[in-house]
Amino acid sequence: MSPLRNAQIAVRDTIAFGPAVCPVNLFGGSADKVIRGLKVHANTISFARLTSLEASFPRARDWIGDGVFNDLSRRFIEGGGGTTEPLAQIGRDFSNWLAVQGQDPTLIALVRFEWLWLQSYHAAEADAMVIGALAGKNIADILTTQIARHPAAHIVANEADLAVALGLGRQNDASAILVTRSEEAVMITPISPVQESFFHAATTLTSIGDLLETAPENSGDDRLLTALIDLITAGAFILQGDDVC
Amino acid sequence: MSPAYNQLPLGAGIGLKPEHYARLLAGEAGTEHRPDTRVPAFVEVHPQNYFGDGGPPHRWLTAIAETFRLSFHSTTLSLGSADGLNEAVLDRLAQLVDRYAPASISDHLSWSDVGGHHLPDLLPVPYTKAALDHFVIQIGRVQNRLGRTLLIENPSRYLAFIGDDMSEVDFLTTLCQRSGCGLLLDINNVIVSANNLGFDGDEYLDAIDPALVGEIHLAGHAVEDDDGALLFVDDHGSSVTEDCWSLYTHFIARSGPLPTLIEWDTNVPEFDILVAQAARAADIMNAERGRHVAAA
Repeated sequence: MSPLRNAQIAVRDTIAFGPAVCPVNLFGGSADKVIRGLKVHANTISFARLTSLEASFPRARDWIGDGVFNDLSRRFIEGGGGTTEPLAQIGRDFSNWLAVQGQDPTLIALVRFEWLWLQSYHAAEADAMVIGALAGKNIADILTTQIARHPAAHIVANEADLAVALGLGRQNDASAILVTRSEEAVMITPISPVQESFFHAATTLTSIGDLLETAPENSGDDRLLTALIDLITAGAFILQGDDVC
Repeated sequence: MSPAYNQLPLGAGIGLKPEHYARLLAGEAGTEHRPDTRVPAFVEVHPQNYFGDGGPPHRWLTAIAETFRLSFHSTTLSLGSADGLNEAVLDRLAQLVDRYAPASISDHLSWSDVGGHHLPDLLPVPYTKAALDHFVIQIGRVQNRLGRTLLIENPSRYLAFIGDDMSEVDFLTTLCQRSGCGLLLDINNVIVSANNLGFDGDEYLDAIDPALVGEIHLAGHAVEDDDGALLFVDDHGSSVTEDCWSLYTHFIARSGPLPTLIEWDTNVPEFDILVAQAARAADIMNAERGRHVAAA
């Protein structure tokens, strides 16, 4: 290893494990001065990581309270969570870590939701399909219309009390929460199992006809159509190919 | 003196904060038309805050960029990392540079990544010939990729390595000469490092060649008292200190006007307070302009 890398590994380990592991021949000045300097860096790094987690999950923090959230955040970071990630990605595995810790299922669902909310907020721009795009088309043309998921659209399972935590009230018929950003604001919409199957089917490019085929046989055409229209209205899809205006 | 390192106006800028988007977009700032005397003359953004593909941040930045020149001040390239700079960050930065054509691009004389770990801070490098060679190579890679000259900021230091071969000024000067990069001179960082490491900030600034400086940063810092031992912490959380204004005035008298940024990233003040700080920097530069005109 080069002297530069040796020094950087030593600094990394000292910040992680404390001044006891700092080589005596690394920094000049008195031990007190070196420890004060190391503390500044350690505090800056810890503060940056904790505030990034806070900023990523404001609803989760509100749900469980600042004290509990801060305690969990610290344990996550001290256990090595997110320490290989840039700050913007530090919360990517937070929900999985909470699950391993056996935390409250609603909190875990809320953290999963908020991570997808962030992905939606920063997703690429794309014109969401609008229902008017199907106006004037005959049934055959509608069924062959090619659509795909909007890049800002995501769904998260409606587990535990997620809908309640999001202020949507009890949504016993909703299997998932749809997150979309067709305009500037991120929107959330409870969706049914049929709508969830439509959404999954549109992960890759598909036709509306193929999408409708994924529904259970006894769903009823009117209900299927309404379910699809509601998804389109929520901004879940984009038009593909010749259908793009 | 007109540095060739960037296309920033020779005026005073502010850091772009989400809470100030509306005031900037409403056109409340800047009543003069000359880009160098308008306040703010430019805005600085941290490009990593715009690494997402789209969404509201890009809409706001697009709107801001229609009125103000942008300075991209990166904190995440990790140029000093012995493992090499962060290629993913460079890719994203290149995309943003293509998209917004900023007037200036800068990063720090520091490192943040090693052994697969990311340490979100601007960590110090030893001032050795090996570290200098390393920086020259990494900066060359960035400049070749972006097709632009980079400005490198002098760090705030709390620790001094044993075995440094040269002073910070010598390291930076040689780095600029060998790599072709410019210097982003952070005068608050000089004050912080001078206090913490025990050198003379005036002598440091007097040793800087103004021709190498493409931009200046001004800021405040926190002071921690540990049983009488004062530690200065570069927290960007308060107004520019009087010491900093004094050193700035002294340096500008030597260099002439240079793009100057008020850094205030935590405890972000009201927009008017931030703009007033920038106006003070603009006044100092304008006085220098007047002196040069009178002398001519």
